[in-house]
Amino acid sequence: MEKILRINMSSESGPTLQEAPVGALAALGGRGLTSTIVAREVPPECHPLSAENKIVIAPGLLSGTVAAMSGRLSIGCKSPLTGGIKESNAGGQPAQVLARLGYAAIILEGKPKGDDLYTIFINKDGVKIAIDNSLKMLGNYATVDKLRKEFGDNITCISIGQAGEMKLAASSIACTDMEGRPARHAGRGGVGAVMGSKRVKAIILDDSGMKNREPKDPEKFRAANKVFVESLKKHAVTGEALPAYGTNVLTNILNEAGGYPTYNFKEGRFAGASKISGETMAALESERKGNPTHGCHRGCVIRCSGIYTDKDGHYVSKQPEYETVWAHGAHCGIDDIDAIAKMDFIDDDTGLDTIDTGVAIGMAMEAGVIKFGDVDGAIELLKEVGKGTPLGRIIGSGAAITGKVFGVERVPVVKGQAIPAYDPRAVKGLGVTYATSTMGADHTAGYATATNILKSGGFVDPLKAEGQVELSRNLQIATAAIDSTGMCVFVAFALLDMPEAFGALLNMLNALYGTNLTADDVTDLGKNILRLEHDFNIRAGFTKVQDRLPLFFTKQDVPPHNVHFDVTDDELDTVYNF
Amino acid sequence: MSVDIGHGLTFHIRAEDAQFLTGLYIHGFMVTCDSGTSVENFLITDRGIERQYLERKVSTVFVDGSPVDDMGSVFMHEGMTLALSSAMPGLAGATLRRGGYLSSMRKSITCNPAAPAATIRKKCSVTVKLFNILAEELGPAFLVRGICLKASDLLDLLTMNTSRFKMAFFHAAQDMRMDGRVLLDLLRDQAANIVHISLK
Repeated sequence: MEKILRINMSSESGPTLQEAPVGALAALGGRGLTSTIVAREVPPECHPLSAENKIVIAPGLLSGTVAAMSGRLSIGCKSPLTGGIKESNAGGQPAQVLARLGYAAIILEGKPKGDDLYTIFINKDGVKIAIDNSLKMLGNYATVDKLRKEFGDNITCISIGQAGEMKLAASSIACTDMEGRPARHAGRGGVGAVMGSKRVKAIILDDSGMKNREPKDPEKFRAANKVFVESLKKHAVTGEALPAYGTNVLTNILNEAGGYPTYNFKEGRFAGASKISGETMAALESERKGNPTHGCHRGCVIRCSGIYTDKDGHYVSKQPEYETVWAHGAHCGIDDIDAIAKMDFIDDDTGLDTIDTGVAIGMAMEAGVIKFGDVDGAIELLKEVGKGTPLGRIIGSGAAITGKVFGVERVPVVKGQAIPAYDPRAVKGLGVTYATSTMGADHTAGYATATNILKSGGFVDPLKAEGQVELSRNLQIATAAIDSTGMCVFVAFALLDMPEAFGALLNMLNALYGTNLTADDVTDLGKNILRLEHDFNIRAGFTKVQDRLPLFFTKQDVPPHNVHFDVTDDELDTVYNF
Repeated sequence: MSVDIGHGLTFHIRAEDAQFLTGLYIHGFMVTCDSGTSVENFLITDRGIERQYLERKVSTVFVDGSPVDDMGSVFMHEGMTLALSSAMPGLAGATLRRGGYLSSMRKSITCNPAAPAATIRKKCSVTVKLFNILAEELGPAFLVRGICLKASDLLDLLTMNTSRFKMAFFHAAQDMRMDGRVLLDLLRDQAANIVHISLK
């Protein structure tokens, strides 16, 4: 990954290319690289859809190697949803392919004047940019089908659907998976709208003729990767629960804990939870000749995804994630798993964040546009987005906008981004992360990542009442570092419990780059990323007021435990004291 | 909730079918046990689950929806719901784990330890739920000792679960010399009653 490709879309004579060595940024990857470039080069006060904004697409430090789980792609920009800095990441094939092609990042900047739609094709021979207006207002699936006919079956695509073209604030960027389906998404923060504002419909990658990146110390790298894989396979979460049931294994657990937001955060339990649970979904997939255990990219050993099929065995969608099932399910009072899988497909095809879109549909239900539990109504609302109707554009703009348009008081968002599937009144530590994350409400911003090993920010006694603020801080620091490696965030479970897994990760990095990184260096990396992001947000106009949960979480108890969020503002304001 | 589980229809599930009843184990079923015995004692002594298995695999435990950190200091009582799960993903999953490093993040819903009841122990009925891997691995073990649930709940489960689930009960019905339709009619007739389920 020795070079950075810049494409300026503003030029009168058409997009211009510039390739430059990665230089001093070589030590960064993934989120570290996207946030550094955005923080340095994007004016924080700019309009997210203006020419001043940039979209940075970066594989992780370990992407393009044989390291297991290293296929996460980071996409950064100023977010049209939150108004702050954004790093949204996705699985699928692009990170590995981009890294094998030698790119540490692709930066799209500027904005063309006309209405033409562009494609960018990259292979070992170089970069070609073309106008292709035949792709206008096509869904991601039709777009990829068309591109495969033109460029062959070996391509990997990064594309936007209709939502991105319409620059809707909940639009995603799709990445193709191992089967070439645009089913893995950088979902959060409206990154699709920024790509749409650059009028880039798709980036097509072909790594034919390219090899995996070669580590400086291949033997040490192989040995570390072996330990890493063995740790993942041994761990109860990464070796058993996730492969068997996917992330949706959480449904029954959060429901039992009374932390499963239901009917737009009115209740903490959903009567239909078991009907839409991971266990039910996996049993259905097995019976219908689908597949409950499937990786989203080559080199994935956890394989938490799956293939969801209908009663006749036909592909419906990839196995919907826990948060997707929740957003379209319990949040909307829907307990029909087939309907939820169908909505997952529509989201992917239209290019929408499943969380913000599902929560937006719940806003429409709260306002009485359709009733809670109305499956057909929910599907029709989703279809409106792809058609570009005024109602569809509202839904596609996310929960905050939809709630405002329909006069809803209880709107579960932080920094304009919808709160996902875990009620912060039941699990308050999560509420701290939702409130203070630089990304807006984000369940992946503070993952359970090796805090006991890293002890970033000092040792924390988790039994102390005030421990949850410190834990949230440490988790956010550690997660920012892991997001830079290209590693799937689910490796966190093994890292949390197995010191050998964390050691193996460090060894892989050191063997690849010939460095001597320590745990402290990893902590420093995470801290630096968070400082950059926090500083960007402050320069964009954010204050402490944005680091708060919506007031209803502090005033309305949620059954069955009848608890509310009571972490004080003063405590929340200490998260960035490091 | 107190339920008289003394009478009702009894199904003997064929051993090879027990693995397909995960929908039932997840939904929850009733068993009787001594009130005042600890959750740990109930699982090890009463249900025959090995301590090592408990420590290694039963990572997430709820009593009446509250996460439990120490199974030795929470006690069985009439009408309680005990839910067992393996280790779960996500920050929420890690937070809900038994005695986990992140347990302070959910302290307001944690099940507080109690002193053991000093009164004479008597039989109580409790609901048990087994999630994810534990449904597959522990469900058949619970069946050996017999479980109960409402006929109306079984009817719902037969409607919403896979054909393998249905076949397990249809096989049991065949052994009782009735076909599937007769079975469903019988369950409808006895919707308010309790059915007993055990291994054949």
